[in-house]
Amino acid sequence: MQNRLRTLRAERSWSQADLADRLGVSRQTVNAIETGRYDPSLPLAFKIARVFEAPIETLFQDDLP
Amino acid sequence: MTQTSAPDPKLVAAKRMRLIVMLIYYVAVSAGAYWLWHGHVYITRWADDAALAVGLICVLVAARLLYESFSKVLLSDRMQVEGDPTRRETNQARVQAALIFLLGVVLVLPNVAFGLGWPRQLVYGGIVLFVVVRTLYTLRALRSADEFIRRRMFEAGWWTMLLTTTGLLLYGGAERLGLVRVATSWDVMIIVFAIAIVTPSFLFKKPKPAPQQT
Repeated sequence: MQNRLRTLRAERSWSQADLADRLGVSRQTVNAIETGRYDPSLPLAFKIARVFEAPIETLFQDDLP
Repeated sequence: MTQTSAPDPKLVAAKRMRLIVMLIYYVAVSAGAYWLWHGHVYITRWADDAALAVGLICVLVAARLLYESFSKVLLSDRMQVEGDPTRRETNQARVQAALIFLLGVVLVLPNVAFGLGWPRQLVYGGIVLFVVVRTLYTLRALRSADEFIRRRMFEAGWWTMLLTTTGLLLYGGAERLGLVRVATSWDVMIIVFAIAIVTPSFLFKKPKPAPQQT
């Protein structure tokens, strides 16, 4: 799964700690999602969408062609 | 064109210093272990040697984690996050280092205590106390973990269980058929702990730096 978290976070000048606080998760989790090592659960994905005020499908894209 | 991003000079310097300090520490601890191995430890079977080896690994790993908790760049690198570690993250690393160190001591303690003639009940009391503290800490860590950390804990636990139950099934069957020697709970315990300690390091290797597009 690919995502645009790092880009969107950079656009808002948020640190990983800022985003982690907004999502209520650890910084390791934010980093793992950004680097593609972890795909978030559906509730967390919706939370991320709410934090970035963007539709969920614009944040995450699957690897299928 | 793709190239690997340049490493942080601060991180490179910190890693170099860590290497030097840890080498000195490793030599000192290894010398202590050698002294224990030769005449100061009660060794009757292979599991006693294995307990000392695993205990030594725990003590070395704990020292490395403790050292890293005093360096912001090293701890951030270990945690794979951007920015400096928080006070809470630093304290967590130190508590983990203490628990890993104590686990190493507990794995070695029965053999050492027996070899040096320490009071057995007192030593066993220490082991029970450690088990209580470790259990409480693990439960607390699991409850306070978020979904990613919890998943890693479950994943490591799942692999440990698969490997140990598979091994026990194979050895237990062979033992009952009289094909292998009878194993004691001490033998089984040390193998389970060795697997539990090694499994996460294989599962959660640090990812290589992402290639940079130029």
